[in-house]
Amino acid sequence: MKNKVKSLVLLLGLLVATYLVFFILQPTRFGSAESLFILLQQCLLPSIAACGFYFVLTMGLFDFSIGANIILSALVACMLSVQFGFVGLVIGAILVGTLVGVANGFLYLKFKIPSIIATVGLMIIYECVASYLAGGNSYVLAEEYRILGQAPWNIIIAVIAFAIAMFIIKFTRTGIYIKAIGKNEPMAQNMGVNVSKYKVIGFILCGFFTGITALLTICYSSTVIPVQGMSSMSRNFTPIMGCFIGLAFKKYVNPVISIIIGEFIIAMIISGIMTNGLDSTLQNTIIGVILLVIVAAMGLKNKGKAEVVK
Amino acid sequence: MLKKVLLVVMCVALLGTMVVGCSAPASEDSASVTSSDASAAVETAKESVEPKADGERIKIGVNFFNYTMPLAQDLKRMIDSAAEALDCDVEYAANDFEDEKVVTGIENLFASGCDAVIVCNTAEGQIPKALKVAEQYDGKVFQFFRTLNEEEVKDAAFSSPYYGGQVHEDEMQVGYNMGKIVNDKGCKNVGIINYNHGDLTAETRYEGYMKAFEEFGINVVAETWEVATGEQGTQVTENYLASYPEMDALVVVGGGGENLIGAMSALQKADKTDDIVLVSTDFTDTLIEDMESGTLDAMSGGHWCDPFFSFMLAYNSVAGAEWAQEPVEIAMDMIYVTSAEEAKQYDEWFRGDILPYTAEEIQQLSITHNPSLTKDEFIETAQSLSLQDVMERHADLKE
Amino acid sequence: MSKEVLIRTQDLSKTFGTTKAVKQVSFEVYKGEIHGLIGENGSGKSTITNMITGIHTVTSGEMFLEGQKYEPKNQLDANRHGVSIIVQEMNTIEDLTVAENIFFGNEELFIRNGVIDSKAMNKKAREYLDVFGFDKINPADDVVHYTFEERKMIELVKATYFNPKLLVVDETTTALSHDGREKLYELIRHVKNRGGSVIVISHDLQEVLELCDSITVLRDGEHIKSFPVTDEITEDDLKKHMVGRELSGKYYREDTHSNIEGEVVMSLKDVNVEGILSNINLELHKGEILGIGGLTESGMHELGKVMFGALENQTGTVSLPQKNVEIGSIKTAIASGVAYASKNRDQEGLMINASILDNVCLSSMDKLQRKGFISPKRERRFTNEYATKMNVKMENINQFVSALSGGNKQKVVLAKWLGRDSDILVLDSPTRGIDVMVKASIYELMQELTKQGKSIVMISEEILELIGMCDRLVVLKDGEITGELLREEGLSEEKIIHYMI
Repeated sequence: MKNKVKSLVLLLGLLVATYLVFFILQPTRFGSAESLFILLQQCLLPSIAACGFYFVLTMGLFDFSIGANIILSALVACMLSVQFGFVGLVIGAILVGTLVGVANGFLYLKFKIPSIIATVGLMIIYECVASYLAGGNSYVLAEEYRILGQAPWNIIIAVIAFAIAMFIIKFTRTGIYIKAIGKNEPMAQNMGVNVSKYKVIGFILCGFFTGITALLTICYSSTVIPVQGMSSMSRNFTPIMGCFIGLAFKKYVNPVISIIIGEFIIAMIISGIMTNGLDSTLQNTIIGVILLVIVAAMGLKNKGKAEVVK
Repeated sequence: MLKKVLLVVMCVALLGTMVVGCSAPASEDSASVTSSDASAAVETAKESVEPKADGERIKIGVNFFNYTMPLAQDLKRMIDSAAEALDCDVEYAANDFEDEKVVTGIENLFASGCDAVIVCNTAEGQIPKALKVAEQYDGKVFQFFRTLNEEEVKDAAFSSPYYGGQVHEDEMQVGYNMGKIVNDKGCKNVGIINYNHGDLTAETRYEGYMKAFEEFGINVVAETWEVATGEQGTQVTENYLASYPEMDALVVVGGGGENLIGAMSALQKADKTDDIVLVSTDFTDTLIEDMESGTLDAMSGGHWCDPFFSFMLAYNSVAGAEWAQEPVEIAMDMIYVTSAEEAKQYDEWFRGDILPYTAEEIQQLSITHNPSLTKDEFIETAQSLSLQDVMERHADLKE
Repeated sequence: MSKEVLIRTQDLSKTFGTTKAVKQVSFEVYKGEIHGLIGENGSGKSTITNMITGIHTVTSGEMFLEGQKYEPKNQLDANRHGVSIIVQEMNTIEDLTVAENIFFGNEELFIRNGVIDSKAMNKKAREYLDVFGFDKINPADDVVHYTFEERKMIELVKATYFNPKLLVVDETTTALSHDGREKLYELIRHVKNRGGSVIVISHDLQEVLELCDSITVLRDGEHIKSFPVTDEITEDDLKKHMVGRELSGKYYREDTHSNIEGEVVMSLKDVNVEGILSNINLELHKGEILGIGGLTESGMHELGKVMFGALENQTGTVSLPQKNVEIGSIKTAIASGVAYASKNRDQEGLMINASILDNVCLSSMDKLQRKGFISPKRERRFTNEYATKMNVKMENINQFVSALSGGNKQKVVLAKWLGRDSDILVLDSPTRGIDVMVKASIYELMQELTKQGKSIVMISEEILELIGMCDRLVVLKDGEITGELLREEGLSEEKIIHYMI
């Protein structure tokens, strides 16, 4: 119990510290309630994707196609919205996202290639599919559909997504088995768990949540333009980093909560750097450093104590 | 098992393409073997490309990203009408932004009989390669939408007989003009969103803006680079709105449009479209609506006559115009739209039934129909293109 | 104990690649009996029970459970037939709760509409935990918060809550504390009283004789003998069967001299570790075997870590007077010639997923390098030298350590430190889980090392071992030194236990 409180305090402490740093530097510009609310909404998008990635990462697997998935799903959603309105928009995004997850899972299984390599290859394919579909045109989401990207709808959708994630993790067999495979795959296998099946499920879940992220993305910025040459990688990083923070605190804090807090910290950093007029390339460096600091801090906590492991 | 099959297939494919790639290109020594008018080709100290003999059909190749994007469609329409007016041939190749495809596209165009190729390259390194290809086919390469900045590449190109010249936008001028427009609209505090450091267009245009801002005493409250995607555009705009309430103008210097759309989205979301003056470059697909709704306040763009002039330059060079035998550089301005009214005008006069240049006007720009055409006249026509210019020239064509 | 057969194997065999681990073994276990399965490392005990409990597939031969053909597909299937196993290693899943671990694989007991009813699951788990008296364990907690021993207790519940017909206990006792062991014995007897049977695999021959009704001896994958336990049977008899010949030579030391005249090579002054050790003042002499005894939670294991500089929140000093060095970190310890073999062999003593070569060379990298480079040839020569010295049974030095038996793993650990030529060896439970033959060779090695002038600290929970090997024995209780005994004065069990509790 004590450790649980300590960890939560540490995480929140980091949050507050980040806020204070930027607030002190620019008290007039940074940190008003209004801007914090905007940041909160901004961080919801990568948080949802990070929740999806969590299922994959827990089992020691990777999915680098998240970014390409977002682009493809958002594009299809936008295209479908023209003909089918809201229904096309929502279903398009989530369906395509999930299908990508299905494809990832089965191809990983079939070809038995390490997930990092497999998903990088698939990322390239998804980028090409999106480029082909768009055909050089840019698609802009009609204004009436964009309300899903605004309060309160984006928050509602995000909360639903988080609830689903937490539910799966805590209250379903899938959650239990995915955790088991992550920690002790041989044992899980021995106890009759169909490990392959759950690895595929992990990818599907990742795709599902990425689809939700894509939905919110297109509603938020009203357009996505397909890229090539693995440029979609840049969309992978923020969710992945949030997920690592979630993992670092997993022992004591609910992973979904720590993911959200982690993403919020990252969003604050991005905003804070901008308000200080610093070079935006600096922001990636700082985020990387924060990640290292957090993970190291968690490691240090356990070191040096007389671990009575018998 | 499946992995093994895949492996074998991939190996075979690899080997196969290797063999194909290594084979020598179908080198047809293009017939610059002309009979009589060889005298037109002045014997100079360096080699030069023989211009086309009279009577032979001229063929010009065009190498661009693709032909589905709106900009490309405008470009193609213009060039097609030029080809028709001049009774010459034109062939198009798409490079899909890929480095390799730029050069191979040029090669394919020459191989299919083009006398010259105009290209919008994606990297400067492609030009020396293109010139080598041009040498093989004894043809010329011209650039459009692009210039050369690297000293070495520029020097090498301009001293090569296979380089015909370049038509590009005067980004410095564009930036300055846009900056001036911002001032004209009465703004004092500007937020800047820009593309990546190292992108020449973005950097030069930015310099233009800054020059104007300094001159008119406009304050830059914030600037963010590396904004490429729609979400980033939205994110940064939202942050600006929250952190800089005094901001009254937002400039999206460049970046292909996605970041601009993201910015517009943010303004609409926050209902600040009337309060913030938004300016950018590269006309959106829905220009009129965007300007009417007040979201967009000014844009520069519509510069798809740049390739047209590059095409005309190439044509003239191949046809033997003396002034077009040495590399020619033309810096053009863009079309400026500062109100919904002007947006409508642009649409009407540039994209209506009558294009910015009629068949007669096009013929007047070619030495085959207008032998007394001079270099200065040619350049001047290009540089004076504007909304006003077209409206004046074609005033009586519209009933 | 009825005469009815519960489980019978018929020419059961298991081959791993080219290795024949089990060769046509046939034996029976009756209902309601505790059946011991003994043999040296590599004799096939675990492999047989793994086949019985569904962990391994059967290469050839058959099994019959209550007269019916028995072919479990996996552990869960075996559980459903009423057969379960408790293994030596940690077999709980960290990120899951206690309840989730107990009912792993059987979640449908608590699933309603696809959702797991945690409350019901926790409630049931609480019931079972209470039956065993584990009131300190909370079913809703993540298992990661519990100690190794507590997790083993959870495994106990997991293996027996469904009243198995057959319970296999595979070398579990060695890893447990006194209390834990008692709980386990209680459980074993409980199963027997309910008419079930237990197969116990253990190297502790005394324990086997005390606990079991009958014994089966295996050697080299073959069935040697099965017989009921009577009062006449001694440990030596068992050893004879296991090894196949008279155990010649000594086992423990035969002298009674306390070798403590040498200079002081290590000195601990006022060492305190909050909540674990207090007021430790101790000296180690050259050529001495200093024993540290006590109950598992007495702090004896942490003391070993202190001597190696592995704990950071300690006060007081650990110094090597001869070398004028104070040990504050592992780096200093190793550089000053202190070696440490942890009780937790797999986690702290070895790199499990690395080769024998990598492990043996690990601590001697600085000795092996020339001008910043390490030649593979030197590494190989080095490894071969010390692996041979320790008589490690391996295929080759590139073999992964994870494939070795417990005893050979320990030999690799010792080979590593031998190669380092450390002067002071702190050995924590050096013979835990190791069979008789290897134990004997380790005791022999210890004596040889002290003759060479090295000093050894032996931390062990096996009293007999301490009595057999030490010059001096220090007993810890609740973090403090409660007693010190010298070899020549006679080390007796009663005296030691007196200090321990």
